[in-house]
Amino acid sequence: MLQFLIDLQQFRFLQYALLTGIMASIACGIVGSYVTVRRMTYIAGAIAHCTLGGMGVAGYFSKEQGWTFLTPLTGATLAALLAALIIAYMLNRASMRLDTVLSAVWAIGMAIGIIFISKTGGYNEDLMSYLFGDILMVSDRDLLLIAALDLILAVVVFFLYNQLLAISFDEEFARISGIRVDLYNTVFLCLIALTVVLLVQVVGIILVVALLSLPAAAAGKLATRLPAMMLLAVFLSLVSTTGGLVISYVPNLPAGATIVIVAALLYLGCSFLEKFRR
Amino acid sequence: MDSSACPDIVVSFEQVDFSFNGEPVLLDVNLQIHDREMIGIIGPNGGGKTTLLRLILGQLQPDRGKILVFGQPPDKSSHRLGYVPQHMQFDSNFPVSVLDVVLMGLAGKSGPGPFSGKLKQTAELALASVDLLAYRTRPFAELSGGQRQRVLIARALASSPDMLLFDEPTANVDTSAGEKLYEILENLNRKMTILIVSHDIGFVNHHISSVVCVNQRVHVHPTSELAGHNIIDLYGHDMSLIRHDHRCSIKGHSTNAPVSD
Repeated sequence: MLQFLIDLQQFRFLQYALLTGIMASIACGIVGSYVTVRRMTYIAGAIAHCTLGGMGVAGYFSKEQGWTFLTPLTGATLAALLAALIIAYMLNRASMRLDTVLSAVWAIGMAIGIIFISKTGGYNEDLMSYLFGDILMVSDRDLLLIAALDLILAVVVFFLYNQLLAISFDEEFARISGIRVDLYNTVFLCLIALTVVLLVQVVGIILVVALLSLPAAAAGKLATRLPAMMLLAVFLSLVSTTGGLVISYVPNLPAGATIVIVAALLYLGCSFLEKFRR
Repeated sequence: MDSSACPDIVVSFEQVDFSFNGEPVLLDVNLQIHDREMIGIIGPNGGGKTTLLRLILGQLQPDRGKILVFGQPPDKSSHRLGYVPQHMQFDSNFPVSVLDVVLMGLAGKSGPGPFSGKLKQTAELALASVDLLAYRTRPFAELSGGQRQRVLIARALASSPDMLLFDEPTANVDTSAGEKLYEILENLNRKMTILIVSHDIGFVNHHISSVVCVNQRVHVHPTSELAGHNIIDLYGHDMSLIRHDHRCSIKGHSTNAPVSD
């Protein structure tokens, strides 16, 4: 802990890591709460895995073709949004089996990513950092993009809160009462996509679903209204990301995995509190 | 416009056919619902009750024929309808308060951003009309089935509809809650038309002025006519009709209640 604080003042990468964790927690708590009450974790999982395609393609073109503007984070953002739009299109057409579509998006995105990464020169240490996250490698450009995504999320949720709540609670009634359910579902899936991109930076593709669902599910055990659930989920995510970063630092544990373990312990703690309270 | 010709008619079906995946669900439906009627839709499962409801709500389009709701095509008049779904279909862990649920009835009409104080007042008025204002900050999940049902009525009432449509209101609601429900419906019926889809023939028979029997084809009866032979036509077998009276003398019902024949 002390060593972490001393180094925090000294090393920029550590400051960036801390900031990334804080900003990702805001998105994670807000969107994670919607995802949890709508039981859409599997959709988030599909979008998360699909971002590997975007990162692989972006990495290939920036290294092999010299398109340095195309960072893996930009690639991941574009891939996640594309996946969200495809899923939204299918979701709004009831004739498709959603399960099949999600599995396809999940697998095709990963396959594209693996092919492009294998054709990109140099060591393939990238693949590991995409899959398991590397919060200590966030650049200042990444940080700016992360801040922008966070701002977009917060503004959209502030203005569309009521409509998003109504479609989450009862889609059929929302449709009858004149809410454009298809439009809001598309917006909602894009919010999930942006959140997933933020979380991939922190814990990597494979662990995104855990960080998206554990703090929100823990908060859901104690909160009785959605805004309270969101605030509590943001707080629990903050404790997970910051706590995980601090704990992992000195023994040099993988930060992403440590963060998820902290989140899981908080979830257990909240389950216990819930039992205790009733 | 048809509505100006006869302003009393709120819903009309003219020779409406509807099929699903090539299977006919409704055939040659002709139906008129008048202003401030309380009307029940009964029929066997798969007979087309819910389809009829969805056609009125504009959620489905007929294959043939013409449907008018308040003199307009259903998708243009859905804002004048209040829909009350079954209360059991909700996630019992969903984190919303009672007032949150009622406000959802206004989410289609309010613009972006938080609800104004005026809309909150509207929602509280709707909640008061189902006698649940004192519960406004309580979690929706903690209410009983009958209370949830009333919250959903308040949600439908929030947008001040001219007609209420119920899907199985008495399913999983105990008898005393059913009576409370009817009391509320009777009050509301003074101001608006009420349409109830129900399996519960007893409830419909006792409380409602006329009944639409749906089994692919549609027949309308005043409830006094709803005797055994109609039930046999409808369900294909005999059924007992049980009157849900509170007070019952030893000799039985005082009035001539319809019984199975």
